[in-house]
Amino acid sequence: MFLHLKKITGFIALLYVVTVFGQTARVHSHNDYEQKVPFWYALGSGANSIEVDVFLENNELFVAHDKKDITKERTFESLYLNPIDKALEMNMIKQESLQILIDIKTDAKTTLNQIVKSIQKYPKVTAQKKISFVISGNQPKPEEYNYYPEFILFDYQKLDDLTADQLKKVALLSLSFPQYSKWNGKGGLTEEDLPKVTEMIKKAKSFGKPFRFWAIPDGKTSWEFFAHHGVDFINTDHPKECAEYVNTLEKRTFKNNMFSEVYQPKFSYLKKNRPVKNVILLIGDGNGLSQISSSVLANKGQLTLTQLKNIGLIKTTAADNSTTDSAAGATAFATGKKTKNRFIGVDSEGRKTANLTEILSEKGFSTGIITTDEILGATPSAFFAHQKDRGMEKEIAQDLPKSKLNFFAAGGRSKVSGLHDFKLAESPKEVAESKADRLAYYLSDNGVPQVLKGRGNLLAETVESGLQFLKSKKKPFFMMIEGAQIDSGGHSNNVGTILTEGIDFDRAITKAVQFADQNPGTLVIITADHETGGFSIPHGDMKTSTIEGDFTTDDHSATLIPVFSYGSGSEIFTGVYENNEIFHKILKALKVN
Amino acid sequence: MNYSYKNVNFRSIAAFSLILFTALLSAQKKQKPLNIIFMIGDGMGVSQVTSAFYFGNSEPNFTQFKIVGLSETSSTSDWVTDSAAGATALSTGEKTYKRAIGVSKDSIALPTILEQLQKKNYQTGLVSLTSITHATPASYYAHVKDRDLHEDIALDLVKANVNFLAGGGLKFFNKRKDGKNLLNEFKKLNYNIDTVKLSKPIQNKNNFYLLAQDELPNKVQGRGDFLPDATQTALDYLSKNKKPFFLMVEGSFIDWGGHAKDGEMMVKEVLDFDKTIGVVMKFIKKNPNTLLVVTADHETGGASIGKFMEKDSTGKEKNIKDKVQVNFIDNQHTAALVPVFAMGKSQELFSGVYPNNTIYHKLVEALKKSGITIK
Repeated sequence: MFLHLKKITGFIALLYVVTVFGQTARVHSHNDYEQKVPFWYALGSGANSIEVDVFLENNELFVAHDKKDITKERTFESLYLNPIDKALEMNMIKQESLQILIDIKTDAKTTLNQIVKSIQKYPKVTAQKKISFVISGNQPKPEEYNYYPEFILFDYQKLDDLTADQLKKVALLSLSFPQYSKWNGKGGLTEEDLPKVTEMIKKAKSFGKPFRFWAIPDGKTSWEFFAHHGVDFINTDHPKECAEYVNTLEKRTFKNNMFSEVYQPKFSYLKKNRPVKNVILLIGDGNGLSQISSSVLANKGQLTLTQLKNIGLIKTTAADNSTTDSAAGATAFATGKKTKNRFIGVDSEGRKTANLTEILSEKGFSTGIITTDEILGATPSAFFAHQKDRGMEKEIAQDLPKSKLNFFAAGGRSKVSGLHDFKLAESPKEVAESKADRLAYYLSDNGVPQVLKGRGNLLAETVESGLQFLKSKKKPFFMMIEGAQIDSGGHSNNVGTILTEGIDFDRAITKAVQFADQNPGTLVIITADHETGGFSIPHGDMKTSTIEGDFTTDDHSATLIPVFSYGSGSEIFTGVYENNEIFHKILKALKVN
Repeated sequence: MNYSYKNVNFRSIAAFSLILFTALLSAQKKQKPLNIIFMIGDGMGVSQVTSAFYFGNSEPNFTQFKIVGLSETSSTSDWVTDSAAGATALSTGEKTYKRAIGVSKDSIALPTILEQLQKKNYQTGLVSLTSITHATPASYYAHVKDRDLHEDIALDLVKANVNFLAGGGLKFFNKRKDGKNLLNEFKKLNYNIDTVKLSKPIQNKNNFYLLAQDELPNKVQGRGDFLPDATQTALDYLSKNKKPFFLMVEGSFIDWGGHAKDGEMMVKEVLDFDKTIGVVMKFIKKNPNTLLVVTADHETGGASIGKFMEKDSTGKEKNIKDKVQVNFIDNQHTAALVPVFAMGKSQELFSGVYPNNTIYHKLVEALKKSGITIK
């Protein structure tokens, strides 16, 4: 039954498991001794490089920015070597490698000799390979690099050639960024600076060593720029924020390869407005305007969705919470009543409330549901069940046979039983051809796979055949279609999931709009229950369909949600209004009381 | 038969007269040039608009719009635009590079909607909270390669003959590196200048209010009702003369709230902008031959309106259900589509999803419907 799914899995997986930007940049804690808690804060943040300025005075190594700041407690041993020794003893260094970048402020040779002596007092430190000590600032000539023990390496700050032996002692190549550009970290580099800077990075990287620019602007836009332009160590005073940012950069950056072929709607309903017969309501779970924007930009600037003209904005607040969940959100659409979060098809007092599929089947409509969630998921449930909690799966499952649905396609077969009235279809093709009165098509036993995990074009195919099935009943119909997993991408802060599920949803929208063009009197409404992730698009490149997204939460947000509508009766869905108005507007369009 | 024949005939005559009458009426309407009020909420994405719904004391004026569109804001040099390229796309109909003011991507001066309408006997006005030489207002009258060339932009304003100007930026006119005092130039050109307060405009003069050395204070710093008041003053002044007008009003600090990652400032600026929209909506109800378009140049801050979390006595975070909070991802602009709202004559042109520069062409189309043809 799931053969066609499995077949494409391998192919799609191959297609998408492509690293966008190679190795993740690492974090360099600049002037680390100036942090409130030197060393430990950077270590806990996941930084891979820690900078310490060192002065030699009276045979003692002091840590300070200026000579005048030297105090007797703040020594290289007390602030760094002792803690490093402790951290090794307690096995607290989770980094694969950690470099201590020692910026020597006094005479190179005498200070370095003292550094070697000090480190040698810690046999645990010299015995391991994880931590290296990299000498910066005043340092001996490259010809003398090899005079020093194995645990001492060097930060090379020129682009002159080195011998192979000298190069072996180089751990890092560093250059001063302000020498090449005065960029303040806002927007992008000027057109003159960009080639200069990228050329310099290329030259530096030709040494085959990790590369760092010092004195770069310190903020997300700058971090993103340098990480994506091959700089290996990002110089920052904010190791925690920077590490969180660069470590998630790859997960938040996605190069899109999957496109929705944009369909140009005919808009013939504008010339001849027939009474509304069929209603197709498409809900992109978690599909806020930023999610839509990212799909538009990743789909070469257009979607079928963005061809539509009638747009509205809805406020999604639930009865008991400013930020709705999918249960209250879908119940507002299905019953016209705002309810509490977690409630399914009941009002805020917990009373059973008639939903669209029940009201319309009374009026002679066929009704159906398609979702990429399990059939017992909150959004589909609100269109057939009445329970006080979305987690009451057993009770929701019992509501399914009692429902008025003629058709559903969803995951979660293992949780449903007793559907004696329903015939089972095994493929979208069987759905389209079925003459059954009531029909179910299971997309999976449990959860439906994501597009990134090989769902393929199953949603669009099911939408096309499901609409054919309802049409064959020769009665008006109501169909709810959910693109359920855009929301999952928001919750897991995964940009690739948001984009591929969003573009997949657009393919489903295309089928619905095409159906409306072929079947005048069909109204198509596309909206979402809420936004998920507080998602935004700080950077990207339209030419390569690459998007970097960022998130403020792994939860839902209260941001207004767009409503697009097409076909007969669609003009009443423009404007700015509450989410439960969607229900009332559908009934108004159908002239049903 | 005969009767019915006559009847048909009578009906067709009636229908014909009706068509003729409507045609005449619409022809008459066409000859009445459209007033345009164009409002830019700098940095006002959909989350910024949303904040008006959660933080205001009354229902936002945004709910009165029946027409909503979405604008794609990219510039030619970068996917994420700035206010200069954003405003130039809106004022000239061409996308350009970041930092460009009223010039194309090849740095060639482009005629702005304001300049073209002046040639069609329109009055014009600009209201801003920043320096009047700042990117957004400047893109309507100046043509310079870089937004930071404030003194050059001020020189362009001398030549621009804008009838109503209100904003900040006094120092770019009277404390200039070239030693000129441009205020004298403006006085020679029949301008009434006030650098102290938003006084009553002089009807037979141009009026120029320069009320701060640089930008005006933001709402948190106590700006008061300058934006709605200046907009009301501009509308009163422009509508008294029996000529059509083009007025641009900028809610400049919504953007600055995002740049400062200051939720309070952002929210108060959005509410102030919404209040100003209310002033314009009242005007439209009395003056139906007017089109209001409200949009943004881009979104700032990656703002979202999220759950309000509070730490309880044990330090555990708890969601306060009836509250929300503003969160930002960063202090920079983002690439999200921004909303467009329209009200009044030809409002329907603004539904749908389109690139930002298309908004200019939609204004051109609306003007054409009212008998005014510009490029």
